[in-house]
Amino acid sequence: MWDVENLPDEDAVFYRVHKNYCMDGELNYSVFREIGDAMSVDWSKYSTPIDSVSRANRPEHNGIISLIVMDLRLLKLAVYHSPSDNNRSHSSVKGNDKPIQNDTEVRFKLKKLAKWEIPIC
Amino acid sequence: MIQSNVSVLAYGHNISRSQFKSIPEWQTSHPKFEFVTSSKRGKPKIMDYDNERVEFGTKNIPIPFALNRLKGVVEKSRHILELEDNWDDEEAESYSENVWENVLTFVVNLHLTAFKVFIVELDYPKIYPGPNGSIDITWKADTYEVLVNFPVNETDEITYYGEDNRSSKFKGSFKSTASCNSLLMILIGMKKCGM
Repeated sequence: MWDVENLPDEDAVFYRVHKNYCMDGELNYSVFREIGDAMSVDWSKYSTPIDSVSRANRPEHNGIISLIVMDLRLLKLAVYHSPSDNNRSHSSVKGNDKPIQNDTEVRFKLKKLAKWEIPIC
Repeated sequence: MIQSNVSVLAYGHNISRSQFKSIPEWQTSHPKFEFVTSSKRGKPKIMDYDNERVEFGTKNIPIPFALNRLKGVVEKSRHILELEDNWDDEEAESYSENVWENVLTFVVNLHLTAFKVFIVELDYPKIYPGPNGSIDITWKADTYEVLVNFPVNETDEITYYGEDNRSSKFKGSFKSTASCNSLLMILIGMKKCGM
């Protein structure tokens, strides 16, 4: 088991995007959602965009966006390292008072902040 | 030939006589142009002229020709109903026809109110799958963008958030589609004044 580390503000996290979230050539707002109790991301310290897309069931159907940790924290989202046995980079992003998918403002802003690492749109 | 005591409305906007002359004759006989006699006071009013219909689900709503592009909004949104459970390989839900129909009814009524009451043809939205079976509506133009989320449960609030290119932000929520005045005023303001 990996130690849990502090995620520095200046680091990036990678988030996987299924191709069906691309509509009219654009990223769809609904891609930002918590599954279980958080949105799963990979910390750039221990992962590359290629590593992250390779973890998908069908990597060819997925792209990768990056988000800067400080930007997420400025939206009052919790961002923390949550490594699993087979993924040391695994981290979580969670809404403050409600899940990300229920927060229209946060979803709007996340789309603006997202930067394509492996475009799928 | 147009009479001297007649004003011309095209898409709800007055156009000058010189502009009118530049419009080909076949267009001036097209129903998108609506003619009213001007009075000495008061502005010309747009005539009720619902000669088109927009159909979706169980709805069949009359609309003026000027809002004909709503039909395209409806058609493009139909893909939402084709998404099956797990459409993102991460267990995303499929979409209810009832929610889709409520969203379109809301959008059509919003456009009709803006057009008939305020004589404004709003920008046309796009309708996308939202999270957990909800549906997103987006209005996006060069100067602004608004995201509206329409929930599955009719008792939950409809929420919106938007920004313009002058860093103004606006957000809000309402429980019933009948109380969407704040959103309507924002969309009209954006269209008319870029506010």
